[in-house]
Amino acid sequence: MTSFAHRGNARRTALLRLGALCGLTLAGDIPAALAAAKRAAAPALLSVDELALTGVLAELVIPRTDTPGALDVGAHRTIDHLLHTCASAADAAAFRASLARLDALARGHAGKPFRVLAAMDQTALLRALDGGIAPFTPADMAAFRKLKSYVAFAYYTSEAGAMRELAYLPVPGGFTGYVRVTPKTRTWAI
Amino acid sequence: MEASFYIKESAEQYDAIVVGSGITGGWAAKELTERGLKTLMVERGRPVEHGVDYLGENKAPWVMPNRGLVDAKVAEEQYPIQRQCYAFDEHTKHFFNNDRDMPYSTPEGRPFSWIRGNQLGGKSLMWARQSYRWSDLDFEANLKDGHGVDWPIRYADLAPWYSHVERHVGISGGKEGLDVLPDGEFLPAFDFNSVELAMKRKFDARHAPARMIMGRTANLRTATEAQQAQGRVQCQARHQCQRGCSFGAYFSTQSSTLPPALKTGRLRIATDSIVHSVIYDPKTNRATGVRVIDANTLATREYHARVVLLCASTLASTAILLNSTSGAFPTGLANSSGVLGHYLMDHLFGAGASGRVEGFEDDYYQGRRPTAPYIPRFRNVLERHPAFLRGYALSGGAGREGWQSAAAKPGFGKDFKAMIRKPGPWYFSLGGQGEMLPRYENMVSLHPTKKDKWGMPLLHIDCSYSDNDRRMQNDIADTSASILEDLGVKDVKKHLRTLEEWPPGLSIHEMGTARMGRDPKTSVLNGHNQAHDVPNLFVTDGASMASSAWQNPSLTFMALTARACAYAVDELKAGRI
Repeated sequence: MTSFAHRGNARRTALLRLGALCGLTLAGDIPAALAAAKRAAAPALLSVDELALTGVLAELVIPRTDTPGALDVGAHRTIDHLLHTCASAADAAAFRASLARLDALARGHAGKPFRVLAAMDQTALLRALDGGIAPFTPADMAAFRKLKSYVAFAYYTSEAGAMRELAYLPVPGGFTGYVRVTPKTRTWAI
Repeated sequence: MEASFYIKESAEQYDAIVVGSGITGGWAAKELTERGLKTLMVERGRPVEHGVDYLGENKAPWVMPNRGLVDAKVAEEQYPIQRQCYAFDEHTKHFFNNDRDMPYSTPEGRPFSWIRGNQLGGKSLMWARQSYRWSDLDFEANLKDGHGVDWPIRYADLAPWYSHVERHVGISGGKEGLDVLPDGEFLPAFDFNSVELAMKRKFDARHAPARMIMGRTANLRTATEAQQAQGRVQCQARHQCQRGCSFGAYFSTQSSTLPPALKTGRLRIATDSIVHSVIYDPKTNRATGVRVIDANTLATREYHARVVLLCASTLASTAILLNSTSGAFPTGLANSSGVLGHYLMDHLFGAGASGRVEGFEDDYYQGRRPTAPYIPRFRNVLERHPAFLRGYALSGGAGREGWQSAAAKPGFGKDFKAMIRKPGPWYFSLGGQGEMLPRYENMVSLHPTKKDKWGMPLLHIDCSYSDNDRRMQNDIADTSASILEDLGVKDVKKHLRTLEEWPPGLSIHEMGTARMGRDPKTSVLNGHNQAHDVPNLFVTDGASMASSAWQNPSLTFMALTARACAYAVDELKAGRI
């Protein structure tokens, strides 16, 4: 019992931190997120800290705009589930190693783990990571591209990602070879 | 489908037994019952009811437990082979054979990927639906270059049967007037998109007489009155075909051949019935039925009929014959020639090229087309290629990049999200499908000791590519790239899978092993898919093929089956078999 309560608290703390980082307001989204967290199971594969870092990174890759962002759709939880259930052990281990490497470099750079850095510092580090610029290596860059592919998969296969961000047509009724692109046109979700 | 059509024990003497319920088994059931024969269809898998049992259909990714991905442990333990198939995913996996329960063996270092369906409807539920006639270029190939035995038939023998099956199936495609790819009875073709249309015009002008056409597919671009009356609706372009289609918009046993067969009242179906062997009576030199093992209880039973048709799939039909031994046929039924099990072929897939297309930013498309542009064979048609015999088709097409390829690009954040929201750059890709030569050493046999859980000997498959195959595969990659570059496609990259990445079998066009031929000494079946040795025994699936050609073979299997059934019924009525 004690360990479950402890894990619950850790999750709560992590979510509060996450919420603060992502600019969620205490009035609406934090209580909702906490309520969701009470229902949500412990992460399947990742540690609570790894899950939180995944959430921060996912939101940095696909942030909330006029449509929901990666955190809103629980992309980090989807990634945790899919890494646990569908990925190879090697891919899951590589993902965790890339999180650890990012955190280690953040600590070396600013003395703090990545997810508590100021937003500007996070962005600057990610920009270097995305471009494979020192201290990051081409291997780090490749690992980040992999993370981006996980985030894209988790987000664009979610209901909001497919239906609100992109255009989802489950039953097109037939194939039309030409439609004109207009300012309103969005990429087909599938 | 009413449950009363299903039987288990039966003392009845049927007119015909059809083993298998996939593309050819369904056609045999339809033809035989419509021609008046009381027919029993025997299927090793479970029943699948049209619509009701399409478990993955209409499920958005977010309602699936794994967003469409298959649990890694389940895939590794139960589907190590089937998982290699492009159509295998969380929506479709229940239509694929369980490799743990139904193993087979291969020699060390020579893999073969045997992709199987294991249910009523077989692979007709998950096939890729590309439907092409063969021509005399194909039927004369063995005779002309000496590889394989001469086909006992020519295009003219099969042409009316192609028409016969096409009218019922519903093939969407354009009339092109090409010698290498005869026209048929078509529904309207699916559309090209803007880039494909531009590329087609350029290709046709520069590479004549080769042409880029729209792939002919067994999806209803429009439905005829007859098809509508059968409950079939035009293709909705959902791109969910392999999950099963409640609209009946593509040809499957469930949508197309079972309904008319059942309507006759002359069809019975025994599911969960694994055929152990064909029963042979040496006194009359006739097949008299099949021995069956119940898939669930392991109980054995027999079914009897006046004619037996094997439509169990290329390798399963041959395995049944190999397991049907007797004093008269110690190495397998109808194997006096000794070629049963030999001359296994597949197609060469896995080579091609792709690149980026500039411009066309204002053009998009709507719907997920069930087919793609296709370039029929041009190699070794008018000129002799120095490196290899026979030829290949190319298929591919254009699309705009979506979120799937975004992660490989630089960026993150709002700009990255905004970029993905807009249709990405156009790409164009081509991939080949090449003919594999028939070779004696590519063969299947029954494993001397290993058995499955039903006590059936495992099939041992020994198949590899030849130098001709490899040289053709290289030309597919090189030629795809040079065609794309000639069409103005940028950043063209070739792809060429190694043997380890694309073992034979994975193209799922396995053919041969009980080939047709003119001479009983060198072939198993005659020109009517009738066993030379046993007149009331027929094999009408891919096992009967004497060469593989370069086209997708299923339409030819259908035409051969319908033709063989008409012949069998005539022979039966005339008292000759």
